[in-house]
Amino acid sequence: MNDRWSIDDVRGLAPDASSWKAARKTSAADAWQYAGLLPGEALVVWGEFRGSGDRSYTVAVHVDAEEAPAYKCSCPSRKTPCKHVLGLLARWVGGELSETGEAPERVGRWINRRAANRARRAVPDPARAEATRRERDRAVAEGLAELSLWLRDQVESGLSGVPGRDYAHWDRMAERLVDAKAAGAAALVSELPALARHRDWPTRVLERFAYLHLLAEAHRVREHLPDGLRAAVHTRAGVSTRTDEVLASGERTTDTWTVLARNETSDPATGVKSRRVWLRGRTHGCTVMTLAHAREPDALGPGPTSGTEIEAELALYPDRRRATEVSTGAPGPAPVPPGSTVAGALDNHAAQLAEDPWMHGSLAVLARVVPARRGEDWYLADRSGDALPLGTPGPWKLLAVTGGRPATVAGEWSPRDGFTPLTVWPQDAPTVPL
Amino acid sequence: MSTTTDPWGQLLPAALVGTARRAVPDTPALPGPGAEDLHGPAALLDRAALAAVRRTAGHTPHTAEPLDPAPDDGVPEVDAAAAHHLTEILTARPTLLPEWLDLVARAGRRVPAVHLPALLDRGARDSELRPALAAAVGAHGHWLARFRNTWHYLGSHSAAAHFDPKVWEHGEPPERRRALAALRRTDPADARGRVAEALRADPVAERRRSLLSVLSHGLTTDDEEVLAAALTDRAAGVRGLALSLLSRLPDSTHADRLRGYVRALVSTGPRGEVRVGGIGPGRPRLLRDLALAAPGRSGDTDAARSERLWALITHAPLDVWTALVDPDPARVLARVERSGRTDVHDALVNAAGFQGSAEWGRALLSTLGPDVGGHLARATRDRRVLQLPALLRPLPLGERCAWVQQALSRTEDLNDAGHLLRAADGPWTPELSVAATRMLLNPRNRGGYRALCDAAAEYLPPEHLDHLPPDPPGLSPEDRSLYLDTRDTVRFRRAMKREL
Repeated sequence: MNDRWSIDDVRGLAPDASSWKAARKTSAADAWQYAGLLPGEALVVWGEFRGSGDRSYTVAVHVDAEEAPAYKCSCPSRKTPCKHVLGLLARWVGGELSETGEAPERVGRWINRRAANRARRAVPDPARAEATRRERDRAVAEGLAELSLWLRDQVESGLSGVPGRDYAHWDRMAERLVDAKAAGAAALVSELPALARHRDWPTRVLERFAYLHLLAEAHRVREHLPDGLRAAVHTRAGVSTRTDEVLASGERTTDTWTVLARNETSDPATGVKSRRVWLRGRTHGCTVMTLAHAREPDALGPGPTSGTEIEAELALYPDRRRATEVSTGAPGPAPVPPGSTVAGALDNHAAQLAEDPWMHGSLAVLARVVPARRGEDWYLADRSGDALPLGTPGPWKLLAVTGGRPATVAGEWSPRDGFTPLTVWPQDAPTVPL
Repeated sequence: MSTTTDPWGQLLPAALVGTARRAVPDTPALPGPGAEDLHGPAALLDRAALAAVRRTAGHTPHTAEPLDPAPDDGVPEVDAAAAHHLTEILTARPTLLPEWLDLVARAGRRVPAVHLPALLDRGARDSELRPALAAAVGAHGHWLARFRNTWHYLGSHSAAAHFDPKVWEHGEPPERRRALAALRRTDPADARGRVAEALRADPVAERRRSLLSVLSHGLTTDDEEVLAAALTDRAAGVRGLALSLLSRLPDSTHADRLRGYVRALVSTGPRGEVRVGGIGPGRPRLLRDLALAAPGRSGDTDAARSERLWALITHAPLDVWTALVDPDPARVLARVERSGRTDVHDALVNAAGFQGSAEWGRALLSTLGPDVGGHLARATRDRRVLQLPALLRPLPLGERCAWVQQALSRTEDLNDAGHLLRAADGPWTPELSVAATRMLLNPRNRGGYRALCDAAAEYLPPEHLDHLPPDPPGLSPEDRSLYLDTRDTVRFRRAMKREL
């Protein structure tokens, strides 16, 4: 039922980070008196949420393949969708809901009304969808224009007052960007208070201002940008593309994909686990990444194994860096992937920055590198002596499996966090995921 | 890059003050129009963006010193099936790890490199695991252990293949220890000299202790002088190690001095009673021989006196007691007990275990034999010393198992049975295995079945699996489930043994 929707998509609906955090509680099964799917033609998810005291809220979501989902909740929250809607959808994509009997009358009425409106519109109107897109694009543009002015004000009056600013100073701008549907830019702004507390705050804050300025300027001239850069600008500003849209209209590519590396992280604040898997096509040679999120530890499934290869058709996101599986074959053993020198990995990172200057980390496959040390710090060095610093403080497993001998190592590189080794192909030994 | 040409260094001060009060600096290193063409905050932000992206994109390689690779000792890793067993042991069956490591070392293999960090971490927490670990990790594991302080312990449990003077001069502490251990095997006197030198010169107590422990291999009275000097070391850990090494040399002059202290303290009365005097604080020579710190002003408490007596009895060769009191150790113990000196009695029992005296262990075990359960219960109740494993350890395997088998036949208590079976240590004789299996299948008592099962799971020889029926009758549901777990563990151990 929900194979076109992931927790990632639900998160994309959240109006702000705190709503999403709150949805962690509202997605608990025992917070709901009832929850289920309404049988019938339209896909309707509904439930009765147990509020505080003896209040309860009726929640319903009409999930529509052609339009954005519509929500209804009897709670007084101003946010749309509210945390109850997000919690209910999180349960739905988690596969927790099944068809139940009759829904309350008000849900039924609401659906009937929607169906009637829908009938009036008859077929989805491409012109209307385009209008919605334009509407959103204009909202983002307005938000970013305000951001641009705000940034100029900050720099005009000087950064020396930054450490004394209260949260409200930053929050106002972040909220304005959320209202303008520029959630990505909002997230970059909402990290500013943390940067302002950093030991090296002047550099951190000016750097963030510079990247935000670059984003706002790039968005202003978006019509004149090359496709790749324009897609990056939209993504970074927060105009997200849903997985079902990518599956429906994204560019397809079929290849034998080597699973280079996987990196699993978990956000302690929301409990959401994320998995990035880096794949490289054997014929096309391009490297893409798939991304999955889940709340429950097992919901991500085992996923592909590093060092194997899979025949698969992928659908590409507009930035052509992220992809989602359309269909996959059985995994098999893969040969050691070709790698580059340290200088080659840095060149590649720089080339990708040209497509997406806001990019945090890139995947690098280093060939014939050995663990190296300077003082207490660890590095990987290639045959020419060039080295990249490691992000992990004690690379013990990497040391153990290489024994200090040259190996091919795949990992994520960012100048700020160093190189995070994820997969090792030691000489004459099986692949080791780290 | 000097500060005048680093655009970031130029832009930051202007940004801090604000473009309202300071002009946007000219940044010739950055592409784009010159300063005269642009003014105001947007120009500064433009340049900061350029500088920030340029800095990230222009990251240059670092340099660092590649490691010397791990030496290849020709010892192959275990194969995939054995590696699979290790994975299960690490996640679900930690008690089987020592046995698995022993099997690996015996098979002339080494543990899979990928598991080395997890294994070395376990050794860091559990010192009993270290000797087995040191024998099973190969040169590769010893190489890895150098890089992390918490893994340096590994160097104390093995020797390098040969003594390399360069390593001794310039190596990390664990490598020096391994080099010295190699020298100890080929030229004990040279090794001894280097230990003596290290004891004088090395300022770090742990390093002195670690190097001193090399003498433990091939210890003779020739080492006495160095050990005696170490008794005056300023670190208690070094002094304690020196004393425990000295107590393995019953022919040393140190041992003779300890015998002399005991003789001066102990006398026998006309009715067979044994009188043992106290040791006052004013005995610097005695205190030094026992590696005890000189007491402070308030040092002469009862506790301090009994600690001194305990230390003396523990380390003085037990033959002084048989010479003084009675040739039969069992009678010595009985007379001490009758004289009301339970403290001396317990110290002697402890000394028998500590010194690994088969004669004393045998004597004591023969008196315990008829009623082991009762003795164990009384020892627990009265907080007395009764360490069966220490007393049994010096005995040959057959004798050990025979004694435990006999003790088993006299006890109904399954907790005691489990304790006895553990004390027997492995590998059990067929007779003891049969006795343990019989008990497992016909428990005569309700409580304590788990203790019995735990001992059997760990020690029952795996080839004995065929004697464990898959579905024995007459067990309660809880016991049945414990039994099946035990059988499953024995089955796992048999598979594990076959793979190696």
